[in-house]
Amino acid sequence: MNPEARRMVARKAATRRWIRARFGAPGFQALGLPGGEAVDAGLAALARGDESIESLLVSLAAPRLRREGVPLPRDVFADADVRLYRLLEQNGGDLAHARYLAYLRQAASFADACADARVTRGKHA
Amino acid sequence: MREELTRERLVLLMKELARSAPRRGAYRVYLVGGGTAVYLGWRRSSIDVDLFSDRDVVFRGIQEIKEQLNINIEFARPEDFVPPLKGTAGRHVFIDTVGAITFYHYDPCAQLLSKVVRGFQRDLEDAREFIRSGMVDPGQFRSLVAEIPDSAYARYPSLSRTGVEAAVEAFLAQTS
Repeated sequence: MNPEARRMVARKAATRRWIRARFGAPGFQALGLPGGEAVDAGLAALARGDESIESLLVSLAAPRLRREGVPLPRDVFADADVRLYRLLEQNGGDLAHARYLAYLRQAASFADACADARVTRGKHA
Repeated sequence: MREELTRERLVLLMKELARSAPRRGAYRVYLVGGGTAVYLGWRRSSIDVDLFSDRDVVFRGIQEIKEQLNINIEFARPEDFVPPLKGTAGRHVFIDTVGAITFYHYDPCAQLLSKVVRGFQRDLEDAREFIRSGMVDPGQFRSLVAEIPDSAYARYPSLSRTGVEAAVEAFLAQTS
């Protein structure tokens, strides 16, 4: 395994540990949070440095996700909203805007639920 | 491929909305979010423009206009996402009157709250501009948020007063 691949594995493991410590599960999909699967995929893609729908979604929502305790790398994609829209446009044509808005709602919904998951966990702890 | 919304296209949009509006009557149309940011020069472009009017008939030509200008349009206002602030109706900012339509920036305090609560990359960039430009006074904004009655939160089950006020305080601390 080359050094970059090793760093990637280490980053993913650190992310899982952080999520488990804060939320009690190794990933957000396991918690059943809306959009958790996309966020898990986005975090994994960011750890690899891949530009994808999910990594751009996580990037554009980064300040809010950090606020809710989601472990994000220091560097995320800049201008992620425009890049996400353009990527959706490549595949979705006229539906790109509707899909873009749906992704924004999903990210906001995830963040809202995330806040609640942490608070709920804190109350029960 | 849709064009990004620039100030020039926004002005064209305003003209086209006025052209397609019913001839009788007077209408108010509010710019929200990216529209406000682009019109005021805070950023060069936006993926879309958010519009609101209390009289939907003013948007009867919107599909044609959208295709003609090749831009993305959404109908939205801050209260779709966050509780209403006291006195919003008196804080809309006049932009221009074109034909039968008077255009306003939607209440900057309400826009700011919506952006701070969602808290995405672009939201926070725009939010800082609301303060930097002087459109929103931080003290007044803090008071308005504190005055939101508990009953108003009942319509926004994904939000909590604690979470909203914490986000507002964190934002104001960063911008002061």
